[in-house]
Amino acid sequence: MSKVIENKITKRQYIFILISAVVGIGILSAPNSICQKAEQSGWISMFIGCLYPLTITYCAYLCYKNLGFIDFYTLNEKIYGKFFSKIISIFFMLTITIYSSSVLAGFYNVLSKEITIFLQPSIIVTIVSLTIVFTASFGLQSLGRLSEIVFYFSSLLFLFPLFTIKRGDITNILPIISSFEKILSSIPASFYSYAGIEISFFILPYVISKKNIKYAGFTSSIIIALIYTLLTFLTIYYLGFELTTKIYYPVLFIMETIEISIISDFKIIFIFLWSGIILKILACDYFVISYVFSKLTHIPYKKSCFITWPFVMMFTIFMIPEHGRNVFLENTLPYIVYTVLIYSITTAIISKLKVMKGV
Amino acid sequence: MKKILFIILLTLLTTFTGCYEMEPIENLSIIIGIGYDIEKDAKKKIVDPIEMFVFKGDGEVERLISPGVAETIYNTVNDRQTVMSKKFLVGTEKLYLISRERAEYGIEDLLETLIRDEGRNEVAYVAITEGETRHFFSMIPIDNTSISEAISGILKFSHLANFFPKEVTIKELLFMYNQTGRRIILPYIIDDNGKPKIAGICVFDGAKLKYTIPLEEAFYMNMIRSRKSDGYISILKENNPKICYSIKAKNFINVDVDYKDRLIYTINVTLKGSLKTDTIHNTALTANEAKEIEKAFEEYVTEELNKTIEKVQNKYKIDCFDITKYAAAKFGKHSPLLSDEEFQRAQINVKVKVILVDLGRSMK
Repeated sequence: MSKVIENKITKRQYIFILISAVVGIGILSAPNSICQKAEQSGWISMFIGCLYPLTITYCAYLCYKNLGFIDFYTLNEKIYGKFFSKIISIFFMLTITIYSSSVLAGFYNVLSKEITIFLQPSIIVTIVSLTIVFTASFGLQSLGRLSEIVFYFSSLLFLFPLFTIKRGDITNILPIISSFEKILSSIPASFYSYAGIEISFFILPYVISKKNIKYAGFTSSIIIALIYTLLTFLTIYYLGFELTTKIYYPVLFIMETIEISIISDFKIIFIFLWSGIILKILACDYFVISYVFSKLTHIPYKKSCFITWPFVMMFTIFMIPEHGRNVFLENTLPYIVYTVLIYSITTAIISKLKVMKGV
Repeated sequence: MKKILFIILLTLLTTFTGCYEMEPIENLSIIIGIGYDIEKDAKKKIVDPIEMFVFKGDGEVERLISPGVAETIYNTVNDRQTVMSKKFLVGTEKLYLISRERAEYGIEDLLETLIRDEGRNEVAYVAITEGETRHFFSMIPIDNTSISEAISGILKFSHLANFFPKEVTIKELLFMYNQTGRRIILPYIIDDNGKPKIAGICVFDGAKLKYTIPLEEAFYMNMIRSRKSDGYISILKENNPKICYSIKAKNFINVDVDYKDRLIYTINVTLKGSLKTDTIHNTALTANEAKEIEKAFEEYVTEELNKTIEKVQNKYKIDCFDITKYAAAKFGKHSPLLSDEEFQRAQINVKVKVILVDLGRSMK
C-alpha cells in the first residue's frame, strides 16, 4: 500500500469532475429560481448563463498556461504575493464550504421530506459527511474515476424528464421570447446554478496531458448547460412557468406524476439515483476544502480531510432550515459569484502581463 | 484500516433502517377518498368526509366513512382523530370529490394546500358531485371494494367516449388553475339511482364554480378542449335509429390565433376514425361513397360546433373550450387580450376534417 496519494487525472476525468462539481441540488430547484423573472423564457437565460462556467474555465486555463502548470497556491503567490494568496485561499475554502454544506443541508431536507421521515438530521448528516470524508481522503485520482463511473450511471436520471414530451403542452413555452429585458435580467440568477465550477482552478494542474485542455473545459461547460437547459425547458413545457415558480423542487413534482405500473412512486427511484450525484458533488467539494487547508497549514492532505470535517458539519447544521438556507444563499451567492468572476478575469490578465514582461 | 472503517460504516448503515415507531397494519387506516363539503349556515363550515380502508385482522378489510367538521381543511383532522381508533396513512388517496356547493363557495384553500403539501397524491382523480360528497361515499359499490375506486375508475376511462380529456387528476387541476389562459373544467358526477354517473362538466371562474353544463353540450366542448380522445358520432336519417351513419373518432386539434380589431380563432378539428355503421348505403362502399360520408360528417359536426360556440359566447360568456391559452401563447402571458370580454367578441371559425381510416370489414 503506497502512502503517497496519486494526484493525476486524465482529461476525460477532468471533464467529469467539473460536471459533478456543478450539477447537484440545482437540477431540482434551478427551474424554480430562473422562472421567477424570465417566466416562460427561463430556459434561454439558463443557456446564456453558461457564459459563467465558460469564462471561469477559460481563465483558469489562461492562468496556468501563462505561468506553467503549477499548483493553485503557488500560482497565487507568484501573482499576488504571500499575504494575498493566503486570503484568496481562505476565501475559496469558505466559498466551497458554503457550497458543500448547503448541498448537504439541501440533501437532508429532500430526504427528510420525501423518503426518510423517521431519521434525525444529525444521523443523516453525520453518516453522509463521514462517507464523503472517507471518499475524498483517497485523493483526486479516485475522485476522477468515481465521477466518471457515477456520471454514466446517473445520466439515466436526466432521461426521466423526457417522458414529459408526450404530455406537456407547447402553449406553455410560447411565445418563446416575450421580452428581452426579462431574459437579460434573469441571467445573473442562472449564474448561481453554475456555482461550483471554481474547482477548475484547483484540479487543472493535475491533468496529465495538457494538449487541448482548453476544449475540455468548454465541453464540460456545454454539457452542464445542456443538462440544465433541457431540465428547465421540460419543466416549463410540462408545468407552465406559473406552477414552476410556486413549487421549490419542480423536478421532483414531475417525478411524482410519472405513472409506471409496478412502481408505486417513481420519485423514490429518482431520489435514489440523485443521491449518487449528491455524494459526488460533495466529495469533489470536500476535496477542494481539505486540499486548500493542507496547503495553508502544511498538514498532510489525509489528516486535513478529517480536521476540516467539524467545520463542514457545523455549517451544515446551521443551514438545515430550508427557508434560512435560501435567505443565506440569496444574500451571499451573488457576492461570491461576482468576486470569483472578477478574481479569475484579473488573474488571467495579470498572468498574461507577467508573461509579456518576461517574468 | 480502510477495510475496518468500511465495514464499520456498512454495519452502521444497516442499523438506520427498520420499523421503529411504526404501527402494525391492524392499527392503520388507509385513506382512499377525500370529500369536500360545506355547511354555509353553520359556524364550523368545512365538512370533509373521508373514505378509508380499515384492517380488522384475519385479512378482513372494511371501508369506513368518517366525516370531520371544523373551521378549516386541516382542522377537520383534529376533529376526526377524536373519534378515530386508528392511525392515518396519507398519500394513498385515489379520489378527491368536491361538492357543488363547496365549489360554488370557492376552493382556493384546497388548491393552495395541494401545491404545498408533499403528502398529497398528485395522480389522484378529481370530480365535482351533485350533492354532498358524503352521500356519494355512502353508496354501495357494486363492482369495486370501495366507492372511491369505482368513481376513479369511471373518471380514468371516461376518455374512451364523449371526447373527455385523458387526465382528470389533481395535477391537471393544478395546471388548469395556474397556467395562463386556462380555467378549471372538471367532470360532474350525479347520483343515478344509487350509482355514480358522469352527467356533464363544471366550468370554473378562478376558483369558483360558475356553470354546470349537461353532457350533450359538453360533448362538443370536449371535442375542442381535449386531444386524442375517443368519441362516437352518429347521423340519423328521418330520426330513425335504424338508419344512420356511425363513426368512432379520435380528435386532433390545431388552433391558429390572429388579431384584427378582435381575436380570430381558427380551430382545425381533425377527426380520424373508423366507420362502424352505415345502414344508409347498406352495401360495400366505394371510395367516392366514403368521401360522401366524410363530407356528411364534416357538415354535421361543423354545424353542431358552431351552435355550441354561439351558445358559449352568448350564454355562458366564458371560455369553455380552453382556447384562450393559444392566444396567450401568441400574444404573451400578460396580454390584455386574454379577458372574457375579448373572448365574447372573438370570431371563432371551425374547420372540421373527417378522415375515415377504416371502413370496416365490408368494403370494395
